[in-house]
Amino acid sequence: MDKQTDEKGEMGHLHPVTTLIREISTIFSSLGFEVADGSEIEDEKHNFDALNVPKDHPARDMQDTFWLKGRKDTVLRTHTSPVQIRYMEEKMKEQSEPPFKIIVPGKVFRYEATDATHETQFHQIEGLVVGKDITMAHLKGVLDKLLKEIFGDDIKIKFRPSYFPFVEPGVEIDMVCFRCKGDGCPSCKQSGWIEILGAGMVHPNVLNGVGIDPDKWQGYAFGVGVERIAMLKYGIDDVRQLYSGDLRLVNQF
Amino acid sequence: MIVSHKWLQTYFDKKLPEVEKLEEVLTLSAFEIENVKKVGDDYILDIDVLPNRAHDCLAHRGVARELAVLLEMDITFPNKELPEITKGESISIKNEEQDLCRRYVGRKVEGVKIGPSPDWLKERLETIGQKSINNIVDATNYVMFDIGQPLHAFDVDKVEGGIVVRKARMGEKITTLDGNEVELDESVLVIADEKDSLAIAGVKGGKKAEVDENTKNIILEAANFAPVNVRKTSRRLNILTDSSKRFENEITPELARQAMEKVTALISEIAGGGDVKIGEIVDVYPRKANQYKAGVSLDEINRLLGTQITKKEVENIWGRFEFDVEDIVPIEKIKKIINSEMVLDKKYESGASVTYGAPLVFDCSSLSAWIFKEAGIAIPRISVDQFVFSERIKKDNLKFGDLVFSNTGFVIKTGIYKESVEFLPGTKVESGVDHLGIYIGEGKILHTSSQTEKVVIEDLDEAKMFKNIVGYGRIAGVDKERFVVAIPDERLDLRIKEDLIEEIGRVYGYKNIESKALEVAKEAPVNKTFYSFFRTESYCITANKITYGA
Repeated sequence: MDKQTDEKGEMGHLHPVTTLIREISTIFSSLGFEVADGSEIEDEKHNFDALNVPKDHPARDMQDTFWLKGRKDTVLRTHTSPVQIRYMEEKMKEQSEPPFKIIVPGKVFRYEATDATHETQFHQIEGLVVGKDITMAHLKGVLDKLLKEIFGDDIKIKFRPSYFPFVEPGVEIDMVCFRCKGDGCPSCKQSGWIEILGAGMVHPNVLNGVGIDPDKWQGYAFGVGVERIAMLKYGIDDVRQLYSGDLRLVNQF
Repeated sequence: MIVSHKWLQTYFDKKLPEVEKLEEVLTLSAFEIENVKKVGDDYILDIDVLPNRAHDCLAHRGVARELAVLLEMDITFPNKELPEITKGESISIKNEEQDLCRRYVGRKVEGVKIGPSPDWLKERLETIGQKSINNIVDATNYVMFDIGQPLHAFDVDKVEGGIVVRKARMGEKITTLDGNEVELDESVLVIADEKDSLAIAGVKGGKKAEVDENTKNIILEAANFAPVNVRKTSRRLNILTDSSKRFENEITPELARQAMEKVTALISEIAGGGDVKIGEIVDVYPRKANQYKAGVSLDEINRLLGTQITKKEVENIWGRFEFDVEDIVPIEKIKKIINSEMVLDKKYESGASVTYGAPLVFDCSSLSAWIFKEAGIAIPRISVDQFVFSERIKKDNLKFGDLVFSNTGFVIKTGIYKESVEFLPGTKVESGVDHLGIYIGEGKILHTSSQTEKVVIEDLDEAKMFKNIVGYGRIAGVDKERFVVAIPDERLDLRIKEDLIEEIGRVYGYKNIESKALEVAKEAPVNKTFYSFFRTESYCITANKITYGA
């Protein structure tokens, strides 16, 4: 099923980003996460407001947004996080309470100038776990596991404070540079560490908004940039190469 | 935010560590550092201050406070001797828009001598990438980058009449300091004199009352403008300034007066020549907020972080922040408040604010919200939400501190709620709730209403407002020990218990949290649509305007 032939009978193959999304999804499936999906066109409420990013709040500037012409309050989603909201809303409508464990792979869009590390379009994998006693220690555990599966057993991660309105506390996760093992090299700009993803404990406003009592339930959420992982794992220097349609690149996979 | 190592040093008697060390501790426990650069014999750090800390850390003092916590160093606040008020003239300030201008502190200073700034001041500003303009403008900028309060100076002799804070008139024009003519409308707040607007409030000054080389007398402004309006104005006019950035991120109105004192002291030192006349401060501050209080328990901290932090460790961290913390059992505090008669007989006012009104005026639900907040427990503001929030109990089990809800049947301003508004929005409450009181034992209830006109204690069985009781509720955790933190004014990011847990977590060190594997009950169901062939990894967006690789 994975391969298809063209007219000449040559085998085609999956794009490295697709492969990586599938690999990561498989890792999470084995950990009991369900894969959820959502629309790339999203309303303002799900993309921002329900995620504790109110209108006219400076946090809106953290994600440059494509607004759709002629459609009121509609955006190309800037992250896969709105699917957290849609999933929880759906569950609460069915009156099925947490625990929830989902990942959401998908395409997202940012209205910004492109360069070697920024694209207007990229993929994220969002994770959301809600339960009675889900802690930051679990968040550390799951990310440790994920990054070890992708980059090998000898990686190390560190959490440092950051801010995303839909989590509190919010953290950014750095990984010891898998190339130089922390000595410093061009890949990690000599710091020994590579910024790899953002995460945190789900903000009570997010749970409350979808009808989940934040005094009874808590959880974590994270978002991984798939292209970022691909670039690191496969040693690709420029994110734009992944979409250039250049067969010299994609045929290596 | 660009900060200078030498500038930060002014906050410490002891020598700060080398810049590499500062970078390391800030990165690990507070902010991302974009880069570090040597400038002359100083170093600058470019700190990525995100919106949660933009209330207090777009300023050297905020970053210095952060360093004091992380490095466990004593911070000192350099306090220049305040200049005497020397029979200077007062000024008239009229604030017509109290929602948009929360505070306006103004002062006239006569007899200043405009000239270049002293070298130390030039160097400070130039090090962090700011141009030195003249001693007055530099002094206002210096104080802004020091404590985070934007300031403005007007040339009094160009001002016609007193200062008026008002909305712009449709089509009104202002020429900004950089010489651009901007057309305003009624959504824009301006600082004006009796004839023209002098500045776009919190965004940019205007030409009319510009301080120039001939200026002799000035009016200093330290004001507080509402964040959303500044943000909308600056986006729409496309004028983004250091001032608008600070206001749109919201700063505490408490800063304004400190900033006025500081800037006056500095100006009389560097632009005085010994004979300036300093006028009285005119402070228009209609609504001062109560000291904010938030609570958290040791158990809540460990339950979210997944740690076994001890009470002693938590207390040590509060100490590093120099937070004013009470360690209490909420119900005891609630008893104390109620028995002290702090609330009894206080006036009723529909829609009374917990932040501004209490403990002088209350309505039924602001009374309970305020009392519980003082005891470190955040409960919703609205009566129906308090109904949904609290746990249902039977009348026989009523204890001190429980809530009693009723549907009075009187037509009161707030109307009758049949579903929750803010807490688990939309939760149905068929019986409807429009009133509540706090049970205080022996069959008595403490409450306030438009009927009683003040906070009263009545017999629950006799009280007219409780003829139709729809339920009894208990707030969870009232008998469990917790910390109640008096939040410093500038820390507008600390509002709920999770915010406090973050402070504990990052200072305790996220690296000290041990990872824990999640138990996997069962493999997840496979999402078949996801694994089918629908994804094409190519550009979704194609438009002539976007050029890749440009």
